[in-house]
Amino acid sequence: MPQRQGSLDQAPTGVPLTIVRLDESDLSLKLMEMGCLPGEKLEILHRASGGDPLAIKVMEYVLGLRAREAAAVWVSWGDTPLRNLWNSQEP
Amino acid sequence: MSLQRIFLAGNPNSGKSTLFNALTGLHHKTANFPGVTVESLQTEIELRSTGKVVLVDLPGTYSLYPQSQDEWVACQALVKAASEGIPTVVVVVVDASNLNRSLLLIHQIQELGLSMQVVLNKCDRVANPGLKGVVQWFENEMKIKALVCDARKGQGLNEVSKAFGQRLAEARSGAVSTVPGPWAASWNEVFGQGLETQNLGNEVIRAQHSAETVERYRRINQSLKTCPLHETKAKAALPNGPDRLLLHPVGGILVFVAVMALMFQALFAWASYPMDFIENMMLWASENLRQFLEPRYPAMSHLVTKGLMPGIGGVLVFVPQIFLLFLFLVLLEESGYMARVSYLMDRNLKRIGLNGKSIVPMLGGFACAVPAIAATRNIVSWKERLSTIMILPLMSCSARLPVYALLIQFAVPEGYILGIFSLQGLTMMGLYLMGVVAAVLSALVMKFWIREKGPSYFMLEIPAYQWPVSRNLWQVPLRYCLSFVQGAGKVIVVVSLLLWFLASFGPDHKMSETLTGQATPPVLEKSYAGVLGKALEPVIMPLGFDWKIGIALVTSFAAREVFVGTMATIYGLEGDPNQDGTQLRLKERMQKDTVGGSKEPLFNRATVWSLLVFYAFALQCMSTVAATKQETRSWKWPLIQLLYLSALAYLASLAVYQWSL
Repeated sequence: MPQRQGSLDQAPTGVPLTIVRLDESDLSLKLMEMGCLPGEKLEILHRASGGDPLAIKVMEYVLGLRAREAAAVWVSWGDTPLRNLWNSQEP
Repeated sequence: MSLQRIFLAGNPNSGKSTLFNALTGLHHKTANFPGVTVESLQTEIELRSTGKVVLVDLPGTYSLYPQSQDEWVACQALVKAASEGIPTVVVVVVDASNLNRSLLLIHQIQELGLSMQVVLNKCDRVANPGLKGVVQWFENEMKIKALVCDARKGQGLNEVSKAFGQRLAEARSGAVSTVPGPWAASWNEVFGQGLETQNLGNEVIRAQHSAETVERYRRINQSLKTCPLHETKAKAALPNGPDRLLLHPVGGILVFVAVMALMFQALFAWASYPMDFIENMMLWASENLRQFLEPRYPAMSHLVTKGLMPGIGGVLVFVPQIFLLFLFLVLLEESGYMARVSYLMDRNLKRIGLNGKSIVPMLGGFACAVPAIAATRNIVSWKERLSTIMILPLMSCSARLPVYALLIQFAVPEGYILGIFSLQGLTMMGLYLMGVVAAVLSALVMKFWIREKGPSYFMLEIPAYQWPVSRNLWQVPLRYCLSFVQGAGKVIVVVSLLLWFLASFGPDHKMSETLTGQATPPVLEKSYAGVLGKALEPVIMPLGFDWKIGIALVTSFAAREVFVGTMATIYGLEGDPNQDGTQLRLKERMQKDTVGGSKEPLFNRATVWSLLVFYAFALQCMSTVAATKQETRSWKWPLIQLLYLSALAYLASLAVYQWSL
């Protein structure tokens, strides 16, 4: 699987993801406190109707959050996360 | 001198409240509410070593930067405690299976300079329940005393109490050696400016907050390298299994509807047995009292058996239903299902201007709007929180149960559909549904009408499933029933006595003669109460209500459950004993009443439906008005709430009565 990255709300379900960075906002501050820090692993477990909200597994617990909030989290997925970040074709 | 204090702090879902309940038992001053700890619940406990101390259960928070009202309460208590000079111990309750995230809060509290104790809770959920290595790690690496307990099973509570005593001794002697960290100053800044500023996002604070969080987690991860984390690995529970269905976009909602249907069916069908029993007991007690008192103290007999007993009976009868309702709420909350419902409903609730978190107060509103209004505090957005508060009284609370239960008998025949669903039970559910529909429509209006800004969040931990603690299943509902009986009881006793007075004496009668038995009491119509009801009749006539119902409307303005007591008192005074001398049940008396001497029964279908609709919508509850005022800190919102709900009730009743005539 090629290395991909994108915002968390667009990422695939049931695949190991790695947080690359977070947008600067109040919202991401809360997310950071809840354990969503750059380098941390996470996985999308469920999506409600219309993909919003979504349930993610992070730091050994399950967190429910809205798609708009998830959009503040930039994640990568694929075989070797983080290494080829700058070569990625994704916007 | 103030008593020494022990604060229970920790992340939401860490089991703080379970520990608090386990340590205090039934000795609460305030009733706890299933779901969120909204206020710092406190109670005095006796410690063997130090004597009396105050134990405080703070609302859960993830950090000392508050984002919602309930977090703010916790953070303020903690930050202020450092400068108040009262010996204080902070006990941080930690979900042992999620040590990493809890360490952020521990790190922050450590810098406040307070005596600290870590309690590793939920140890039944981790691979190595002894957690010896982790306890050791806390002492060596973090310089904090830690111990292990299982609050749900009540294991390790003695050790917890003992540790309380030791930490308090340290706090008194000033042996707490914590260096204020580099960030402590910013908290004072945050609290100095209040919650609003924090929410709007002060650039300086935000940058600092961000740097602080990253740096803290870096230090935490660094120090965790020496921690035997394998001990805290969560046992393979059932993480994904039930959620495939329960969090499914369609299946999840269907399950939720089924759960609600079961709840209301149970509320009506199962509760009727203990209710009948209580009603018969009250009749029996009242009859015996009458036989004992009447020959000896005629005036007092009249007061007790016609005024007081029907009023008290009217409250007691509904205790089983209220108990069952709370039992259901505790089950939903403790099993971890409530958080999933919030998650499922967020999208729909967002559309009508509410939040997924609104569902907890909304379901709680079926029990009582007053604690439910306080339970909105974990909704971050002020607009969403305000909308939730405004529509909460439309969720049919337990005080309406008595009214519905009494009136439905006149409008709907007994009987079953498909052999299992009782007709009256379904009607009851319909009334609840009607309230919900009205709430949704009102929320939509609020969404476009309330102009408040601020960010809207939905970030909610979805806890692992667990079996509810059996102790909580009876304690929490029981505690609420007790406070209902005390609270409502006081109001109802006072109102019943007042009503008895107003109904037993009239403008044309000398009170002393009636009291000494020289004259018979006036007929109800000529009493003060009757005069009052008659004055109201022109306004309520279009709704199908006569002057007697008018009296009940006036008395139940303070608390709607008084309606039943009022009916009991009115008909108790008016109705004669049966031919054989026994007293009739309230329902039978009401059935016999007719409209102004004609053959038409007073409680006919149209009037009863109109009354039901009126009670479903009207805000007849002083406590709710007071709670809204307290939570919105102004008279504006409670007044708007009172006005819109009264108008809604009147117009809806009018429409129903005129249409069903």
